Amino acid sequence: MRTHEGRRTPAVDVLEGTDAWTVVVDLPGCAKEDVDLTVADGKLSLEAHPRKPDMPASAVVQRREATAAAFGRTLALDQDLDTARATAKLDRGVLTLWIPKRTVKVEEKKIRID
Amino acid sequence: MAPLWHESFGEWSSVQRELNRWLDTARSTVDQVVGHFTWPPVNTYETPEEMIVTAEAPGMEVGDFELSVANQTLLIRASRKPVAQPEGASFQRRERADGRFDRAVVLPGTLDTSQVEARYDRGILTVRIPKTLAARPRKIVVEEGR
Repeated sequence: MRTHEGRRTPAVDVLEGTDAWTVVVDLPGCAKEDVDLTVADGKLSLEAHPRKPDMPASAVVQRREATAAAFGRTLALDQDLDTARATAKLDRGVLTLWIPKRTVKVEEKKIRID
Repeated sequence: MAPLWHESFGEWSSVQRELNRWLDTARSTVDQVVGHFTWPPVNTYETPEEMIVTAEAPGMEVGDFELSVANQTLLIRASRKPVAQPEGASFQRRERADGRFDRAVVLPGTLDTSQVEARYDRGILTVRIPKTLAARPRKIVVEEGR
C-alpha cells in the first residue's frame, strides 16, 4: 500500500559473524510479498509496504503513534560479501537476512621485480 | 452578522491541529534521540461498536505479552528478546528495541472490559474492546401521532 505520509526508517540490527553477516529489520505489518530487497553497487536497499490493518470501515483514528507509511532503508555492504548466496526470511514482522562472506579469497600474488 | 463563535471555533481547532502536529514531531524527535522512548508504538481507533488498540511489536511470541485491564486502563506489558547472536558474532549496528516495556492506554468509561479480545498477526498486536450496549448508537422509531 502506498501512502503520502512519507517514509519510515525501520530499526535494524547488523551482526558480523565469522563466516556471514546477519541483518535483522523490524517490518511490522508486512508479509514477504510486501518487501522488496535489492543488492547493487555494494548497497542493500529495502522497501516495504505494510498492509492496511484489518479495520472496520467505520473506524476513526484517535491516537496515532505509528503511521501507515512505507519502510525504506539503504545499508552499505562490506566488500567481501557473497550476495549471490544471500538468504532472507520474514517472520512475525521481522526480516532476517543472512549474507555469507566470500570463501574464496583472492590469492596473494608476489610481484617480481625485474 | 456572521456568528462569531463559529469563526473562533474554527480557529481554535486549527490551533489544536498545529499543536498536535508539533507534539507528534517532538515525540518522534525524542524517540530518535533517546531511542525507543515509547515502545511499542500504539494507535487507537473507535467505531460505533468498539474501541480498537493496535501496537507494533514485531518478532514476539504470543506468550511475551501480558495484557490486563483495571481502573479504566489497558496495560500492555511486553518482553522482547534481543536477536539471537551467532557464536563469535558481534553487533555492528543495534537499533531494535529489546527488554521489558509497558504501555498504558486510558479507556473511556463506555466500554465493556469483561469482553476484551486480543490477536497477534504480522508483528502487530490488536486489542478489541466492545462498547457497552448503552453506549452504542440506537435507532429510535418515531411513531405517528393519533
